[in-house]
Amino acid sequence: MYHNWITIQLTLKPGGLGGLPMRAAKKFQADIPSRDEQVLTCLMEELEVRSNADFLTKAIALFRWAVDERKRGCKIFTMSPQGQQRELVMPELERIAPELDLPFRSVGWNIDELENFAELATREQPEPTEHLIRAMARK
Amino acid sequence: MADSFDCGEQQLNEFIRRYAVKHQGPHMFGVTYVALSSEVPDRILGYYTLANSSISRDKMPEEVLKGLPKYSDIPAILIGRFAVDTAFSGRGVGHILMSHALNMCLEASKLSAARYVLNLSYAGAVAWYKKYGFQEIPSQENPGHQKMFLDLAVVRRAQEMGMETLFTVKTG
Repeated sequence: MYHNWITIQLTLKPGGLGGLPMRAAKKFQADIPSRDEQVLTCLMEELEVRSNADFLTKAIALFRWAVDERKRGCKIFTMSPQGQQRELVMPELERIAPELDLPFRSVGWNIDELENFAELATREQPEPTEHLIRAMARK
Repeated sequence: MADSFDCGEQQLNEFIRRYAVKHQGPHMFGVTYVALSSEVPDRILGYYTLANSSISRDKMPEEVLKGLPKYSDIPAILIGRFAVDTAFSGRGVGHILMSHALNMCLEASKLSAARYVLNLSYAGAVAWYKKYGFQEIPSQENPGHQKMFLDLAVVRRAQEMGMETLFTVKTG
């Protein structure tokens, strides 16, 4: 019944809910084909990453960022020094991209409110608050 | 899952229990985003709804129209409902939801232009929204509910400032 909702997965602040224990680091093992092993070695050298664990951590961070961007509807591009753009398209990422198609909802306004809104909106807008900056930085 | 949701406001509880799915599906009145955690998989921690809306420029008096764009309606995004289950209050759920909501508003504004985020706040939550820069729109009507707005240009500026604090460039 609830599959239509768009869900946001939260990780709560340390301490969690009811003091649930933190999980230990998870062991991750994978067999990779020899051709990918060479690619992996080259990548680790280029990135100056010394361990598989460190490489995996950085790869997860990069993938997580890409997933987060596509979840928000952002497209991922590269731009060459000449300004040529290339878009990163992966079927896995496209599946999670939302369609930002918001329906319209009318709000009742009275003259009093419209006057007050116009007066406030035409003033110089205040600088972002600390809370707003943290919210937009997702902290 | 939704039946156990309790934010302390009956209307907001009823909405998520009975109407959110209909509003999003057949009626197309709003999109609901719910916050879940694997730590409590059977509970909704909080939710909010978004919809496109507008502010009628035609009804504004001439003397206050000078600084506003010359369109018949001023496009806006409405945070129609915003609620956190009281069992999870004080744990940052509201902030994460607001962060998500404002980031979504900014993204949505790039696809279909919007200048303001509107919010219909319960009286008790006005001070909380003000922390994010929402401004009250004074009114003699609608007791118990307060119309508030936030300029998306300010939200965009906050995002830029947030990025500046996330990334530092090493020199030398």
